[in-house]
Amino acid sequence: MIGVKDGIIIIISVSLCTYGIRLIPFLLFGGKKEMPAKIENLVNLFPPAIIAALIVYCLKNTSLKNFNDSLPALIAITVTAIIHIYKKNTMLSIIVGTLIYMLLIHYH
Amino acid sequence: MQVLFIILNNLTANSNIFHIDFSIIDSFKKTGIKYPFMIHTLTDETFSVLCSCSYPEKINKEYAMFYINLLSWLYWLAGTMLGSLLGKNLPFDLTGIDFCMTALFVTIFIDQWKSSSSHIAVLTGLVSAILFLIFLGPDKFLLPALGCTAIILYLWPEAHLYKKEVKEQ
Repeated sequence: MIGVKDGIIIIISVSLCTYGIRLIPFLLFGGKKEMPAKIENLVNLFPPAIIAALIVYCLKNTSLKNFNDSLPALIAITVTAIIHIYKKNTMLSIIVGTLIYMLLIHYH
Repeated sequence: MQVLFIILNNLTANSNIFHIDFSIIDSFKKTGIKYPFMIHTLTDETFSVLCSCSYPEKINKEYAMFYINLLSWLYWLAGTMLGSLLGKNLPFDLTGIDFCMTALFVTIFIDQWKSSSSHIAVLTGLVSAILFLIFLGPDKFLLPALGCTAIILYLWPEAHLYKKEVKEQ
């Protein structure tokens, strides 16, 4: 569970990010139609890279030492990926993957 | 660390606002005092409504745009509150529900992998995250890994090849 203090920190930082990311282009390039090519490049390339890093973050406690504890996550990720590759339906992949994970840790 | 994770999530989810900003900047400037609020409430959804709407001559376009954003914002707030209140009272064991974030990342990862011919960005993020995880451990690898990724991607000479494909999505 998230405590009150963490909750406040999270709400403040998320609101700053949400507003900041909308405000920055207006502030920095308000007079221009296009953003500088180098920056646009980074804006395009960075989010996919963050997603890849976040997957690693979600699995950060996985290791061969506690392989048995990591199994539910690994199985659920594999199932999510397979369903997504064949069915191409994001909601379906997420729901089935999460249900499998919840069942696995419940009966583990 | 958990806060950083949430912030990164927020940034990734909001990153396409950068592009939207540029195409709508001129119409927003005309809204005068409502300008900051318009920026605040700009989302994918409001953008698509704002653009697809036809504004008859007799109505005030700036006010119409303002109300579109205001209503969308209120619906959003109401939906979030409702979800949070209902979620607290669900009668099942929800342990493990947070896996839906991991599953979401996996689906985005696969979609991105399929839709682009260049995997430079994804691979840079993946490899640097794994390397920093090995060297720095699970508690402090994320920020250095992303810093390193940003520098590599900024300096990558052929990265512009990737740009057009992303835009067309």
